[in-house]
Amino acid sequence: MRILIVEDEPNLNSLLAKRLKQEHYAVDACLNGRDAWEYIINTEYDAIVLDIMIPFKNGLEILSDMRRMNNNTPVLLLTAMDSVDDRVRGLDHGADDYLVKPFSFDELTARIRAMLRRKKDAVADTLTVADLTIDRNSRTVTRGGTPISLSSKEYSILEYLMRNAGIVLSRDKIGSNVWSYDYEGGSNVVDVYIRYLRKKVDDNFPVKLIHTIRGTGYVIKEEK
Amino acid sequence: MKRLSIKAKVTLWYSALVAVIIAALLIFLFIVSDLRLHEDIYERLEDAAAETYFSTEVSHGELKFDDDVDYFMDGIYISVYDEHRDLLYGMIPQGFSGGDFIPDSAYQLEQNGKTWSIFDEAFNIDDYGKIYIRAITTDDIHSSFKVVISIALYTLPLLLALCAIVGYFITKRAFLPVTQITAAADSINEGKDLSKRIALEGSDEIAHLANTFDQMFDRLEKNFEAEKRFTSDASHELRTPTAVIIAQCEYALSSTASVDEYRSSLEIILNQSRKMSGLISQLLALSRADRGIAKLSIEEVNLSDLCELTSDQLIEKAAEKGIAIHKEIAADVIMAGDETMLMRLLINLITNAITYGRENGNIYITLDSYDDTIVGAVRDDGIGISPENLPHIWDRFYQVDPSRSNDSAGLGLSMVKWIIAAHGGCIDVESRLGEGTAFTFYLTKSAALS
Repeated sequence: MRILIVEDEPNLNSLLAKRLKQEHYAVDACLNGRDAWEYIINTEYDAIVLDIMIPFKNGLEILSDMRRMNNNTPVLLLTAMDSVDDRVRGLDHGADDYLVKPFSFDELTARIRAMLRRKKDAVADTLTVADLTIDRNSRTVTRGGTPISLSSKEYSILEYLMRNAGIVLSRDKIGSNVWSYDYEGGSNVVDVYIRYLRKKVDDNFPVKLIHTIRGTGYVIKEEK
Repeated sequence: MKRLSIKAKVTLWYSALVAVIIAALLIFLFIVSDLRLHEDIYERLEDAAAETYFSTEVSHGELKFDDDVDYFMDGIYISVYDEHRDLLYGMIPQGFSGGDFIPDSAYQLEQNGKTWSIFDEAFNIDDYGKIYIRAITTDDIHSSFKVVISIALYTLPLLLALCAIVGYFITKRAFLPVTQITAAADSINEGKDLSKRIALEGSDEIAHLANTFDQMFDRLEKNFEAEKRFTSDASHELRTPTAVIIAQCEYALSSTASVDEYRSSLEIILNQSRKMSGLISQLLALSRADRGIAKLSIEEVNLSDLCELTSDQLIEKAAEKGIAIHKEIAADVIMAGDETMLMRLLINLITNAITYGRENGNIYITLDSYDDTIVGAVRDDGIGISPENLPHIWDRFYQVDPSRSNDSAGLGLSMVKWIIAAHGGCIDVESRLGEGTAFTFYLTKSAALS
């Protein structure tokens, strides 16, 4: 899952980035509206945490431009302005949620999770394909009742595949969702990870769920 | 005090100290001499009085004094009085107007501008009675001292001034190297010419300081050069794919292009873009490593699985050159590390072996562990690296043979070096031209992370 943080106060910005990375999100962060806009139009994010009062292009402008372009990425507005009018205005501009500073970090992550649940391709707390199940709250994986131990990145890739079960995802897309601009794995890395997943998720089971579509990418589905 | 130079400060302090010492010395000498000299005088006076006493004789109820004893001897005036204070013998010096008798004591009297040292004693003479003997002499000690002091007061300031001037020049000379250092550093600063050095001769503390500065300038210069080279190399590497993309786009946009040609152009563009993207990521990672802010996400990594899967992934690529991959990987070698980075490490080493391997050659991948140490190796029987090039292979963008460009454009081994270092390990390389190259790396199972 990839998240963009737009916050102009540097300490808060890096703190948010650090904590969200601990929550296993791939995180990009920027300090002003101009950079934020570049990131948004060039990258697919699962969610955006957006401060309203930022330099060059304020949060509400960014939000309305996004919605006008049919970019429906869930956006959580973060701000110090807390009058009812401000909230109404924020939500009407297209925000999915609104959180006033100072806030508790636990509340922020809970709201992000809730926001992701409400997304159009609504994702539940658990995802299932055939007898493979992942629990997104605990980040655990089981197949046929047997627990499977995955590393952080292995899990993120599997989750992305399962969120888009039945849809073929290219290496680039998988890479973009699991790593931020900070740490791109590079060529071959996604392939090796898929091998890992196959070994752990498919090898010991009769039905293979992860498929390669030559020239396009990978997909997880139950072949009927 | 703040605005004075060190030289001035040192000179002032030093001169003040000298003045204080001299003054203290003079005072000390003065006091001690005073005491000693006076002791001396009193002793002489006492002796003279005693001598006089012993030279008395009583005859017919009268006091007679021996002819040997003079009432003026060695500057001491003797006067003898009876119990009624009448003068019996001797004389008092001129200028002395007399004073009360203080028996058995030695003292000083100041009269008419002169100082007198006096010793009075009372004696009892048998068959006669009591007599008082006074020994008196001029006390010219004080006047001598007065002369000394006035001489001192005139010469001391001159002496002090001389001290200060000489001291100032000595200090100035000693601090000359500091001026040199400052001048050199200033010129380096202004001229932005980092190749200049202070080059001070000598072996004292200041020369040592200058030496240390020169070493620091060495390091700075090297770092700046490396950074400049890195930036220019990076830009250069990015220019090539960009040029290809532009060319392809221009061609595709030209009226003569067919749909198939569009497709082919786009594929090339995509390929080049991926290349650039990979390059930029590695540059970013390396620059983060340089600044010391690279963050690894540490997990338990099964290095054996990683090796197996990574080599399996690259079998196809190796097969393109007819290269066979041989694995000897011990099972379940587990370590604490960043899975993605370790994967990157192995991919780079194996890809390198393929790029510089010979057709239909071999690559040997081994992994083993004992105690806490993990040893891994990637060996090929390819073209090898010459001894001159060997130390440079870790440099960024260094490519022994630029025509054999692989995806990492020469950054592959820099990344390898950094990843190993970030995990607290080390890596060796051995190579023989025409025979092959072997990379051996050592890691620890527990986190020895930097």
